Amino acid sequence: MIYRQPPALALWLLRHFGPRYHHESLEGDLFEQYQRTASRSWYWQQTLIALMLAGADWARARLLRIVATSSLRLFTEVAALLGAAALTQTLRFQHACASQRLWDPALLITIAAAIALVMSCGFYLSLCVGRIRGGKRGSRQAPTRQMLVAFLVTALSAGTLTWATTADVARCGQQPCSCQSPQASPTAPQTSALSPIR
Amino acid sequence: MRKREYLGQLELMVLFAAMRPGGDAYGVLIAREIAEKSGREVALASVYAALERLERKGFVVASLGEPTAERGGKARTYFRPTAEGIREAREARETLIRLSSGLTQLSSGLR
Repeated sequence: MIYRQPPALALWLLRHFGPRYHHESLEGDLFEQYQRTASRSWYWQQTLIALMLAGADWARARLLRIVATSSLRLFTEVAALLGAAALTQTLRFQHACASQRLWDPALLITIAAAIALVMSCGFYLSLCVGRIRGGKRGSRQAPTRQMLVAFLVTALSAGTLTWATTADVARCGQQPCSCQSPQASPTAPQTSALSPIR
Repeated sequence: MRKREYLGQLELMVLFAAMRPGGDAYGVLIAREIAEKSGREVALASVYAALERLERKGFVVASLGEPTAERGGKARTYFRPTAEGIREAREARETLIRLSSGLTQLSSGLR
C-alpha cells in the first residue's frame, strides 16, 4: 500500500521545533489522520498549533531565567563602572596624599577591593565570552548562579572602593596635603585669581 | 481535606475520553471522541499537551505500542487512567452535578 507523504517542510518543523512530549506518537497520529481524511492545509494547521504550544512551553520555562540573567548582567556592569570610577578617584587621592598613608589599613582594604573588582570583572567577561562561544552544556542553572557570584563580588568591591574614596576625600579635606595641585589642596593660596597677570 | 489538583475543561474532557475506549486510548481516538461528543474539533497537539499535564499529575499512565506502516513507522502511545485519575474524574463530575443542580437557567432551556 502506498501512503501519502505529509508536507516535508511541515514535518521537518514538527521534528525540530515541535513539542518533545511523545513527539513520535504525535507525528504518527498526524500521519495516520492525514491518510484518512485530511488535506495538506489540515496538516499545516496541526503543525502550526503544535509549534505554538511548544514555543509557549519554551518561553514559560525560560522567561524567568532570561529576565534574571539579563538583570544580573546589567547590575554587574553598573557595579563594575561605579567601582572603576571609585578606583580612579581613590588613586587620584592616593597620589595627592601619598606621604601620610603608606601602610594605612584603609589603603590595604582599597588594594584588596581593587584586586577583587578586577578579578570579578575578569570572571564576568569569561562568562560572557563562554556564553557567546556556546559554553558548556550541563546544568542549566549554572550560568545564572555564576553570574550572581560575579555580581555579588563586583558590588561588594565597588561598595568598598566607594567607601574608601569617601574616607579619602574626608581625610584629605581635613589634613594638609603634600600635593601641589591647586584643586587638590584646600590650603593652597587663594590669591591666584587676584594676582596680577605676568 | 486533601489538596486537590484542579483540572481544566480540556484536561477533564481528555480524561473522560481516555476512560471510554477501554484501555486502548491514543491521541487520534481521544481527539475523535471529544469531537463527536462535544461537537468541537481539538488539535492533536492540544490533546497531547493535556495528556502531558494529566500524566505529570499522575492521572494517566502511558504505554508504547508497536510501530506500524500506516503511521509512517511510528508507534502509538496508549493512555490509561490511573485509580487516582478515575477518582478525580468522578469527583469532578459529582461537583459539577452538585453545582448545577437547581439552576433554573439550565433546566428551562435558556441559551
